[in-house]
Amino acid sequence: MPAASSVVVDASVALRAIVDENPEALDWFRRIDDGDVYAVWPQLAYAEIANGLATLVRASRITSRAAVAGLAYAVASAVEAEGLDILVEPALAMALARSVSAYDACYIVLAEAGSATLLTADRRLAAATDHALLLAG
Amino acid sequence: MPGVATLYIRNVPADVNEGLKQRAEETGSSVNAVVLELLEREMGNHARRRGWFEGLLELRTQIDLSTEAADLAVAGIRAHRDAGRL
Repeated sequence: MPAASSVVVDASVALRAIVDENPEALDWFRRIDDGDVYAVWPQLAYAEIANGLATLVRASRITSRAAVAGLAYAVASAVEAEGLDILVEPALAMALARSVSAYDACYIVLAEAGSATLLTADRRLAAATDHALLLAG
Repeated sequence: MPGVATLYIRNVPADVNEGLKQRAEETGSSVNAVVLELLEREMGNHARRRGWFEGLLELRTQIDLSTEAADLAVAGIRAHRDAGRL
C-alpha cells in the first residue's frame, strides 16, 4: 500500500468524523485540514454523506439541523471533489471487470489511478482494492 | 491605485506557465487575469476553511456521539452501493 500522503476519502470516513465517538476518522480530517495530507473524493461522496446523515435523522440519532451542518462541513472541507463526468467511464469498466458497484468503483479508480490510499470505514469497499486502509469502527 | 498591489512571481515552472497561457487563450483573457482569478478563488477557499476543524469539533459537541450510530450510517451507504450491483 502506498504512503498515506495522498488519500482518497470514502463517504463513510466523513460520517465517522461527524458522529463516531472513536476519533480516528476525525484525526484524518484534522491532518487533511492542516494540509499534511492531500485528499480527494468523488462528487458522489456528497450524496452518500447526505444519505448517511438522512439515515441517522430518520433513526432519531441526530437532529435534522445537525445533519444539515454535518453536510455543510463535508462540502466545505479541504477534500477536493473529482467530477463524476471524469470518473464514470473508468468506473463502469472497473465495475464490470471486478463485479463491484459503479459507486465503489468511483473510489477505487481514484485511488488506484492516483496511487493513493483509499481511506474507508466500509469493509466491503476495503476488500475490493489493495490500496485501502480500513478505519476501525 | 489604492487597495491593489503588484506581485512578481519568480521560478514559475514551464508547464504551469504554459497551462496559464493556454487557459488565458481559451477564456479570451490575459495570463494576469487568469492568475488573479485563481488567487482570489484559493483565498476564498482558505477563508471559508479557516476554523473549519474547530467548527467540526463544535458540531460534535452537539451530537450524541456513537460508534453504533456511525455504523448505522455506514451500513446505509453500503446497502445503497450493493443495490448498484444487482
